[in-house]
Amino acid sequence: MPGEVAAVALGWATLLLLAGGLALLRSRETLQRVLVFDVLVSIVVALLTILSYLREVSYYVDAALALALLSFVATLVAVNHVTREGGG
Amino acid sequence: MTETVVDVIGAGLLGLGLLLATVGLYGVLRMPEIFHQLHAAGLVTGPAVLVILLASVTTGRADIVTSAALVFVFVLVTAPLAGHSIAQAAWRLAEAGGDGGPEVRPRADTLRGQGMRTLVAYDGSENAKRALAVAARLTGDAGSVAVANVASPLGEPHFAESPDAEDTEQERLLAEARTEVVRGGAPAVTVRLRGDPVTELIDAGGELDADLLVVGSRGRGRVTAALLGSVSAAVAGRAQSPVVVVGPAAEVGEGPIVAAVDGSEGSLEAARVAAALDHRLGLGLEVVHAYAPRPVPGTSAVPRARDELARADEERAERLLGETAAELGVPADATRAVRGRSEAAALVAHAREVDAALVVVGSRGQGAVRSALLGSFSTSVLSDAHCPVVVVPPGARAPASS
Repeated sequence: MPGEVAAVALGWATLLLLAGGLALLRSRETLQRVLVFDVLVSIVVALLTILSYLREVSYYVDAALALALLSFVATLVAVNHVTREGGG
Repeated sequence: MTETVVDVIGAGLLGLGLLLATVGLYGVLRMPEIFHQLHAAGLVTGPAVLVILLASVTTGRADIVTSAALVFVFVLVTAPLAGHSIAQAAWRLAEAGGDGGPEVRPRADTLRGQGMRTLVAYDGSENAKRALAVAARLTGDAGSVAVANVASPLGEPHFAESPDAEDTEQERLLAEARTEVVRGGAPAVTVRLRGDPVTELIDAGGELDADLLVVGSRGRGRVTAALLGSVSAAVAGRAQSPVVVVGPAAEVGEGPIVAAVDGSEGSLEAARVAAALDHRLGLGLEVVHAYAPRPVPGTSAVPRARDELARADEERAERLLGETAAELGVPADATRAVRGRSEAAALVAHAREVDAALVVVGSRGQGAVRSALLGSFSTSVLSDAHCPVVVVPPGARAPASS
């Protein structure tokens, strides 16, 4: 894959990350924040994957896997907490 | 050469993934509340990431592809699970916080009177207002009308914050509708419902033991209705009692009630319902068999063969009408055979010609997808008729005729 393509994709993904941050700031309910957080992690996973294409090394993807795993557990725990506490 | 192709595919996959992510994120930013946002977020957490990971095969590096494959499988499994758990939590919170007022369930004794019992759906729209007028007209002062409004727990944003405001709005709408029906000349009661409009309306119709369900239709075409979901079509397809669908330009005409028959058991039931309605309303009844010429390949060039076929069609239609009239006890001069491009087109054109008050058709009870694909007769009549259309499901009972 040509470096230019990966570089442009990396820039695009970074912009998406910023937009995701904006969405996080705009959300009012706890569950909305959990959802946006889930989306943010997905964007970071995509970002790391593109970075690995750009640098042509695989360990960024491994990092993405660890991040996805943590995020999944975190989402379940947060949702469980919100359901018990009644949200806010 | 191969390398260029692989590069282009890789760039395309990356672009597609990022485009999906952008669209999804835009949705998350713009949607008003969590149930809507979940749809958009699902696009980012699922397909967008998966497509970007898929692009790894074009890097030609075994280690990257292996790692990416692991992440691919992991995301494939966990993204729907995470989304589902968030949705479930949001639903539980809404259920816990959204039931501000007491549950208002319809009871069978709500509708009194010996005459016809009619349930009409009202949401404040123009079509719903016309549906009210039609319901009042069909029911008359001997029966009673129940006006129902269904508050959807998912339709309006921020419902959980102000259940009281929603209740007030529902009460205001129903009070307005009730006044309208009483002005139309029928006694009216109101029913407040909450949940999925189609299911709630059909259930309420069953609980109230309603003879007729009246719904307004926005008059979406068949394809749009199948894609976006039409409440009126869904109610007409699933209800146990006859459903009157009032289209956007539909007026109760000055002419007779037109019942479409095709010799099937379903259409006979529909004709019986039409007869009961006529008995109550005294508008006159016309039993119509609409048919289209049967296409026979090779005959278009031979006028004599074509004429013979047309005559055969005509004779068949007359015979069918004679049998049906005898079965229903309708005089032979109240029957008509009409011919057109299609059965539905012939019927709709004839109804317009005689300025029919109502068109009554039987429904074979096909699902929404099947009728959209195969084209159901009742669906075409629904979308084209100039007057309210009564769809009679299989096994429906005729309304009380007193």
